[in-house]
Order: sequence, then C-alpha cells, then structure tokens
Amino acid sequence: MKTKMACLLNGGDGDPGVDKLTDNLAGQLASLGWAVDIQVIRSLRIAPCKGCFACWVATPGVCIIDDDGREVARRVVQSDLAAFITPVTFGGYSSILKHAVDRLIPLILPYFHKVNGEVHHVPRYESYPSLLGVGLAEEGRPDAERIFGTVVKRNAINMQAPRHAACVVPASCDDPRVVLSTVLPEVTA
Amino acid sequence: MSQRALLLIGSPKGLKASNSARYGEAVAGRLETAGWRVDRIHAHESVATFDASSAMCQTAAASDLVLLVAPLYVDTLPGPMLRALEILALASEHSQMAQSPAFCVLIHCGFIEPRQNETAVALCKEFAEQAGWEWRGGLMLGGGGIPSKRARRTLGEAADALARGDAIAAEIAARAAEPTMPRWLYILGGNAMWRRVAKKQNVSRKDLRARPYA
Repeated sequence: MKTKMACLLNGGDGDPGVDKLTDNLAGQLASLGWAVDIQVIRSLRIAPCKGCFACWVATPGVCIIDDDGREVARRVVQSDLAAFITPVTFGGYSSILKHAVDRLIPLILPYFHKVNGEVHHVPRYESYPSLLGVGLAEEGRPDAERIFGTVVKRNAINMQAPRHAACVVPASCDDPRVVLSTVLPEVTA
Repeated sequence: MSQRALLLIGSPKGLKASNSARYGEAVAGRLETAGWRVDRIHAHESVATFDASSAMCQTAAASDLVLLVAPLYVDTLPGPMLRALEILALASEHSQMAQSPAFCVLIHCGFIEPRQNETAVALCKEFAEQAGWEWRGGLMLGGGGIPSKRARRTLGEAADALARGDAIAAEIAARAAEPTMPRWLYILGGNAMWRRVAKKQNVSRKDLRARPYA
C-alpha cells in the first residue's frame, strides 16, 4: 500500500509553542505510518500574492513569482493531508502562514461553479489533500477559537479538501497529544 | 479641528488601480466633503520597512477612524494586510498609540455572495476587540468589482454614518450583503470572462486547465 504523505506548514514566528505543536503532530502522523514533510514557512522566501491572476490565465497552475511559494503549492497538492499549524491570530492564521496560503490559488481553476448553494472555483486537480488546522491560542478568547474553526471550514471548501478538521490548543498546554488525537482520525481515515 | 480618518488599503494593487481603492475612495471622498481629513496608506508598503510601519502606527494613532478596505484572499485578509493588523495590535498593546481610533472595514470578493466575506469581517472585529479599538461595523461586497447602484448607495450611506461618528447600521450592512445578480448568470458571465482573458494571453481552453504538479 502506498505510504500516505502529510505536508505540515509551520506558520510560527519562532516561538517554541508552534514548533513543538508541529513536532508533536509530525510524531503522531509518523506513528500512524504517514510520511511527513515539514515546511517551516518563516525560513522560506515567499513574496505576497500580487493578485495578478497570471497563475490562472497566463501560466496556468504556476505562480509567476519564482520563489519558495511555488514549491509549497506543489508539496501541498501532492500530499494526502495538508496541516496548517499557526498561532491563532485574530481568529485566523499568522501573517507568515497567510503569505504561503495566499499563494495556493494556482491549485484551483479560475472558473466558477456552485457548491452547496454558493459560487466557488472549480478544482484543477483530480484529488486534493484533506485539511487540518491546528491553532495555538491564549485561553479566554472563545470568539477567536470559533473564527478559527470557520476559517478552516471555509478554506476546505475553497481548497477542495475532501475532509477537514480544526482544533485549538491552549498555549498553556504541556502535552497537546490529547487534543491532536481527537481530530486526527477525522482527516487521516 | 477637523476629524481625521485613515484609509488603509489591503489590495496588492495599491492606492490607485485596485477595487479596494475605488470603494475606499467612495467613502473617503464623502468624509472629506463632510470636513474630515483623510490619510491614505497601502498596507503592503507599510509592512515593508520598520519606518513605514512606524508611520502607519503614528497615523492610526492620530486618527479618529481607521477604514480598512481589502479584497477577500482565501477566506480572510491578504497576508500583508494581516501583517499590518499584527503590527497595529502590537503597537496598541504596548501603548505606543496615545489614543485608539474607531475601526470599520469593507471587504469585497470575487464571488457573487457578499456573505462569503463574513469570516474576514469577523476576524477584523476580533482584531478591534484585542487592540481595544471601537468597532464601527463591517460592510461586505461581492461581484468582483462589477459596479452596482446598490453598492454605490450603500457606500454613501455608510460614509454618512461614519462622518457623523456613528457605526454602520446593521440594516445598511445587511442590504449590501445580498447578491446583486442570479448565481447562474454570474457563473456564466464569469467563466466567459476568464476564457476571454486567457485567450488574450494566447492560452487555450485546454492549456488553462493544465496540471503542472500532477
């Protein structure tokens, strides 16, 4: 049987919390027999999306910016699971991670179709990875946690993810394994 | 002394050539007519250097109102716009801002349903909460920048409320949040537009569906 591949995007700024979460998730996936590819976004060269749509209409499927953003997009779409690991930032991803996520739009087509009564883009590829959002957050921010879940859910629709799950790990948590183990079955089945 | 507003544009296309600028100017112009002074900052430039970030924080601190206008990027804000908010929140947290401005946002997207911007607006509201800025409401527009009478009227009504120092009323925001044309028509027209644009680039219909990473 083909080994399944997980692409973990570490969106931390160097704070040990997100690095620890990433390592923990990688360990759990490895124990399930998955191959794990960790991309530490802060160490990559990823320019912001220019909003030019060249990746849709001029160089279909490839961003015209020749930097690590292209490679991250390739690794994500070639994986079975993409995990976004990030400090919860106003309910969303860190800006470091968001620069990389914005550069994933070459993976879909510009064309529109209807999904669950809404207009969305048509998939470019036959298959896409499931999506797991793992946020690290200060406790006592229930709105931010709720928004984080919605962001991951909305991303899953727009990134064509067959399955998705999100969890928020409190910054004070010493052992995130329990939290991660509750959501992993939803995206690794 | 006149009241001050900061128009913070979050489109990579900047202060001149973007839909964000066009929408933002519709509000800013009305504020200026009402006697406000309006500064304009491009978020992407403001996060590029330490000096530009400091200038953004100082301008925000000197403003009574910050109006963020940005396109929806993968369900929230473009990366650099988000970075600008991180910097502004940090400045607020460390009391580098003598006063906190009020904050409102206008998020627009390339889908016909303005409500697809809801998550981005919620994120901005959460920023305001964390930064201690007074929330004056969020507007959502869809339709990929296609001009509509409803959008013009909504922006005018919102600007008038903001000029008075009021929040954007829920009924104004709700009116703006309804699609301006049937979905089937938007899909038909949108797909034809993308094919036309690709053809101009000498990209065939088949090549447009390329799978370089398959």
